[in-house]
Amino acid sequence: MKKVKPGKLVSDIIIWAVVIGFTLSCLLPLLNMIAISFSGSDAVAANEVGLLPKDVNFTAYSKLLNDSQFWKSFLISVERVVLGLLINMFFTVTMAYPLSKSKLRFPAREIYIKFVIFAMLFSGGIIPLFMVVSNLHLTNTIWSLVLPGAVPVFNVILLINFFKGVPDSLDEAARIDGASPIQILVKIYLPVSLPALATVALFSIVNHWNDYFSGLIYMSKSAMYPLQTYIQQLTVDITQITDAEQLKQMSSMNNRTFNAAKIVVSTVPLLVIYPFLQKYFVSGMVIGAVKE
Amino acid sequence: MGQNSKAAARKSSGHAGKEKMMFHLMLLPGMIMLAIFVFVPLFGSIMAFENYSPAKGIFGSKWVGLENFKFIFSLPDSRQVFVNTLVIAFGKLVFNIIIPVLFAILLNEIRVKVFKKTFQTVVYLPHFLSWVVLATVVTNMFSLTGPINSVISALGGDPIQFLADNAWFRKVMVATDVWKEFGYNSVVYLAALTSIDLGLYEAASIDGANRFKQILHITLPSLLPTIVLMTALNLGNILNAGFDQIFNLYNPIVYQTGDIIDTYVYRIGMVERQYSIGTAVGLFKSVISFILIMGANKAAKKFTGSGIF
Amino acid sequence: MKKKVISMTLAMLMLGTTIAGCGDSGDSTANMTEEEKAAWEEAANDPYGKYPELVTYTTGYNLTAQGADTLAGTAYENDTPSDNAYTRYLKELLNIQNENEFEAQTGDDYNQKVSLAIASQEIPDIMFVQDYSTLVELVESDLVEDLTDVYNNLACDTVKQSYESYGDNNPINTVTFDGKIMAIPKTQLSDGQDFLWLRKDWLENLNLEEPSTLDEMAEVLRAFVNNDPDGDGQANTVGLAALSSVYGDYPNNTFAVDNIFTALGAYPNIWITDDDGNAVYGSIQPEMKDALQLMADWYAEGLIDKEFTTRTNDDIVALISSGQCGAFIGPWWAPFNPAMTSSYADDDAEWINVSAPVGSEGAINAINTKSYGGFVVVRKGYEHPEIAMKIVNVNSEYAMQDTTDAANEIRENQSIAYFNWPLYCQVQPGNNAEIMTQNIEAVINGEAEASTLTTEEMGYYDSIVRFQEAEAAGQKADSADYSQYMSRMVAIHKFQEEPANFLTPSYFETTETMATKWASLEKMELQTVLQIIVGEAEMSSFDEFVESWTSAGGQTITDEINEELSSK
Repeated sequence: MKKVKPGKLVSDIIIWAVVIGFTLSCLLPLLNMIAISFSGSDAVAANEVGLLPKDVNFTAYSKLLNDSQFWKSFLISVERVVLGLLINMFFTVTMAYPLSKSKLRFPAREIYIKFVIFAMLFSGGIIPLFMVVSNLHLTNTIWSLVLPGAVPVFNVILLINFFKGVPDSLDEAARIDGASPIQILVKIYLPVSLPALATVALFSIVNHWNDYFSGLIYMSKSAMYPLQTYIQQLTVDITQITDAEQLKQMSSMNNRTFNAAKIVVSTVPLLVIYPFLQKYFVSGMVIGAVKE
Repeated sequence: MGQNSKAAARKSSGHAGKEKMMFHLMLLPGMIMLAIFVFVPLFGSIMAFENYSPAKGIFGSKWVGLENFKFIFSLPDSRQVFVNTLVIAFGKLVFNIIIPVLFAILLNEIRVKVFKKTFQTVVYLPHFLSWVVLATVVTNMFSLTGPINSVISALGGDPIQFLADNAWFRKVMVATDVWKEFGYNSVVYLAALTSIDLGLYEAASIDGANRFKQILHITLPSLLPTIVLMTALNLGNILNAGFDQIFNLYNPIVYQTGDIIDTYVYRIGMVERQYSIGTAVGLFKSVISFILIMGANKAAKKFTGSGIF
Repeated sequence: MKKKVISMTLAMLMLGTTIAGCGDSGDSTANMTEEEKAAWEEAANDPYGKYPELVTYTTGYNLTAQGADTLAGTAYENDTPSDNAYTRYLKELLNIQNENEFEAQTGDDYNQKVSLAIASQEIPDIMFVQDYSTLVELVESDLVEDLTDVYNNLACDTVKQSYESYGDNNPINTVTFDGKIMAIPKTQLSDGQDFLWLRKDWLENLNLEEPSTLDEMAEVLRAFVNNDPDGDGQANTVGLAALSSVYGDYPNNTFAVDNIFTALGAYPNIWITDDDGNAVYGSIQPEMKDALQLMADWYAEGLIDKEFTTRTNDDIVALISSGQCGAFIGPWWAPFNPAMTSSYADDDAEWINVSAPVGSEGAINAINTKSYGGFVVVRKGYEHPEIAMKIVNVNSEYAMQDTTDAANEIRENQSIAYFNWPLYCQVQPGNNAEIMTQNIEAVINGEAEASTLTTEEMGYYDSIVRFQEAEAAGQKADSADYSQYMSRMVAIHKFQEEPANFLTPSYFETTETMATKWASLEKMELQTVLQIIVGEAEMSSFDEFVESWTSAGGQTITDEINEELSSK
């Protein structure tokens, strides 16, 4: 049995306390939001809901989940994320690898990289981009959601830096064996870069899932909206409704309960995906072992 | 680059040409996409030099040269708005690096996997809450009867209207933004931490280095490249102080310290949509960002011997 | 060569290859017999004429903010924006069918789509545009059809009379450019004057009279803050709720306190006519000083919520519904928002709308809104511009009076409020809300049959009856029914009993200089006003504000407006 040093114990306590403090500060507003989404509108309007729901009801959720368009939009979003992720990863990897090489091995990288940085920072605005997408006849197709942002420059730069950290010695051995750049990329670089790939994949997924604006611009019918675009435009407005049944149902919710439910519902898929990617962050890679 | 690789490069000089060709080919598809969806629409930036109206189109609107830029800089409050943006964005830049790094390091010290994963997941979530929703939480936290003022009163201080006080507004903006984003921002550092050779810790431990020293001499240095990279990339955002947050939390009393470029341009657009002015401001911001990022890259090269890109 | 290819590609990507895509614009009457021609002619010249063959028009469709779940389980489950109760009704009646080039939620989303359609030079045959500036742009670029003849020949009586009911404020004036009517304006109903809404139970607890003047109002607020109106033994109530923007957008800006300013003769945030007949900006007039002094005094005394500058709308609602605040200024429909939920904290919560604070003439000084809320335009060169007018006719008159089964679907859909009428343009007299209340009252008092009510009125009537039945049975009525009753019966009633003095602003739109400089001028104004109210600045800063406002573009704008007004 190893003896625990007192110094270690103290530092352990401090570390746990700080991390738990940070975590709680994030958890409480989340619990508040979840509680609000299940609470009655009156209690919410009066700011009476803390960490536990009051006047529990599921109206906000039933309004969202009973809506057939919700599920259509959900599927569009899933399709978009899958397609968008594949496209993003393809471009991220194929661009990051050559650009991670030194100036000596690939002189043209200096020009490419300037273009890439430029592309990250400059944009022509909504209208010109819309006109390009529209003239390519991509509007009202899933491609309008995934192609304009096909090259996620921020992710490319992140990955370039991760690739740079891969020791040259690994690369050289393979080159002497006559492996092509693509073989080296696939067989050597990708397997040792799983944490980095998981990171950029996460960013891609989150970006695609959360983006509501392109749906709004490129889709001319709400039947084709992805989920975030669809739900962000829903609000509770009872002033127009006179149908008794509808009114009864709607009066147990308001925009705050509804917005909270929207966030809960649209965040759950991201919560499901995260632990799946997370496992790549904890498995210590042994890149360091071969460092020069 | 070591001796070995130079030798290898010489040896395979026949391969080298072929390799370069392959590299060009690999970059080609991505460059085409950028050309179509970034560089072509960039011609729309012409709007910044026009009095653009959608009905007349980009090529039919009246050319006004630098009028829009002159207008932006001639506004009585452009200086104030510019300074507010810089101060708030700079505060966010600094603390959005420090806190996530600190959190990632501390979390990395927690060896119980279940807790580590749970903590990590929880802190990642606030990123997905929108400011519209969080605004209520924040105003309640900082209101005269809210928890923070209760603590201040309990300690014998005078309650402060944080969101209506020019001395506090920017600080609250930075703090709440860092709170919302630190978990999400720490993801990239957690990924970087995975590449540290665990053997280094063992060796240090045998040498008698305590935990603090290990963090200082092993963990932090190995995160340094990522920190430098993220700092440089975030420099590109130095003129983006966070529209959604400020728009939902500010009020005219704190315009003096809290009105930023984006909220100001938004209010100009509210009167009547101003494509040209919006584009001019966007172009201006892009140019500044580009210069800063390129400068940061040069500085990093000089400083550490290798650039960021 | 290479250069040419590149620039061609560029041009193609940016401009597209829209080479006159107006497919059916050829002369379609060429192959017709005389009879057929006459039939088309007749249909086109009758306000409700049915076309011999189906006419398809392209348009942009305004959606409501409802989720489609409201349709789930009804007969309308599979309806779409191009096939729903309204479009089927129009097809049956006029033989026309809409084809939507875009669909979006009313407001920013829809306006965004309109801008994109205009920018890509592909505007639909007929569409609704929200902003006056967009209309001007379309007219100036010669993209929309002159509708003068269409309006003169085809507008139904309801539409014409409704427009005329606005008097000097006639919306048709707004859409007339060089003597030509270029659009069909949607009318913006007057929401009357704002009232002071007070907790009636608090007034009773404290034995207070309903206030009328500013001083009386201050008395009530003082008592609400200091005398523990809720009787819980704690000093936990605040004074008057107020928006951080203080005033503006009268009267639909619940919690804005314009009435306090107007009671003292100040008309902030609007353009008023001075004694010489010139347009001047209300916020820089000397009367503002009295109003600001009063606001500052009230704030210092705590009669106005101490934290009003940082409260969001939700925060104010929370304040009211948790029973911490019993006084706010708001329009007749205010019970729909905060007051209805106030029963949460306190089952006894009851509200009353009071005509206070009154001005020197003993009535609330109110401000008229503009009379239009958007425009229907027709693409230049469209073959059937008259369709626009016919749809507006049906929406404003025919369908409202149709008591046959054909209109049943419409009635049911109106109560669900999921789809809008195509073109989203109904023309009604300005005091329509009042008229509806009178009609409903007549039925309740037994002076008229329920069948005389329009579809919309019927819905409100049902709600009000439900409320009264619940009350009679000693039960707590549904909060939505309570809101309908309070707003439509109690509040609107006061429009007649206690009429306000209405002032019509001399100018509603945006001038060229305003378009760019207004944000900066407005910031100046709001900062000064708020700082004076909360005591961070002296009253003398108001004079400085007036001076810098005038020199920083305010004078230019004033001149532009006067020039524009004198040219009309």
